Amino acid sequence: MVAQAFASTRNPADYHPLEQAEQLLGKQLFQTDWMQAKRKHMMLFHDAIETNPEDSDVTICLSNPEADNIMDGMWTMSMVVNFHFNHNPIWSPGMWALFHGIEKARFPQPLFVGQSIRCTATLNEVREHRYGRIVVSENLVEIQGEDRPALIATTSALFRIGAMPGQSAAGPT
Amino acid sequence: MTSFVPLDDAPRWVGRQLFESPWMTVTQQHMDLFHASTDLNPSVTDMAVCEANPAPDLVDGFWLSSMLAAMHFNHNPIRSPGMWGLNLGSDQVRYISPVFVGNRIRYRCTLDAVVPHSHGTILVTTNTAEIEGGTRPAMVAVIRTLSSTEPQLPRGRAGP
Repeated sequence: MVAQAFASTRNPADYHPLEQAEQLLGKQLFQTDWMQAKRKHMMLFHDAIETNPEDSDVTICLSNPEADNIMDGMWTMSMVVNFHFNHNPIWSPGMWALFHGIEKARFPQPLFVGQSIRCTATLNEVREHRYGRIVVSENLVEIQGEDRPALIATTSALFRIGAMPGQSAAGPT
Repeated sequence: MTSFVPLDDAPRWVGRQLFESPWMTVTQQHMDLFHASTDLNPSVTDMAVCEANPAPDLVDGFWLSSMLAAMHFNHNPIRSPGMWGLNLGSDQVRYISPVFVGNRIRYRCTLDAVVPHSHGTILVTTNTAEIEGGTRPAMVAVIRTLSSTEPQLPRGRAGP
């Protein structure tokens, strides 16, 4: 119910319609504020993916000289979803998105608990798909005070307005 | 897992399957924890795009990718004393068939390449997540991991 209230606050006039997304090609879609990577994020993430000692053999993790403080690269990658939910200007009423893939991702610099990150996204490509439109973006996640970023990732998502035909059987490719 | 393969012997495993995990059920708890860990909740995030999704029990693709850490922790036979791993990135990840809460999945991993690196060895693997009873995989991901026994992580300009 709270979520529904949040959605109803969106004004289509504030967003770029999906059918005109190509007008933003090559342009910066958004840049987030700095956010801190907290130990709480790391611990919840380990519970979510079962990489805590109760569920997994964490020998390799414990051999890591900075195991207690390093953030998982996949947590940084997963935060890209959050950044797009909150900041991607491409939206039409009834639109939803399905992550289609990662073209390439690199983690040039380890991220540690307590450091702050922000994401800058650029629109690389928009192409038609039988179930909607594939939107490809490049995502740069910087670490405050560091020369090198935590992540550079080119991601693609299927954007669609309305339900999938034959939804349960149809994959995105 | 049958036995460990020392990191130095990894090149002999190129082209071979490293592991196949047991089946596991994807639960709503996995999703709830994943969403909490990435601040995907309506109190801090605009969930409009998520709300319009006609399949609310759809499993996040990035959770499927993130589970690779646990799979490699538990099943990758390449291991030497003191060895640690650092995720360097992915060359290509495709989410092919949707996974829903309650589905059972398993992972297969094949070693594609072993590349020397100034701080250790890069292992390139292709990882396939299968859905029990499905004809198409949920995900195929090529990932690059730096494996090393060095006493310190590479940081700053000397980073990976």
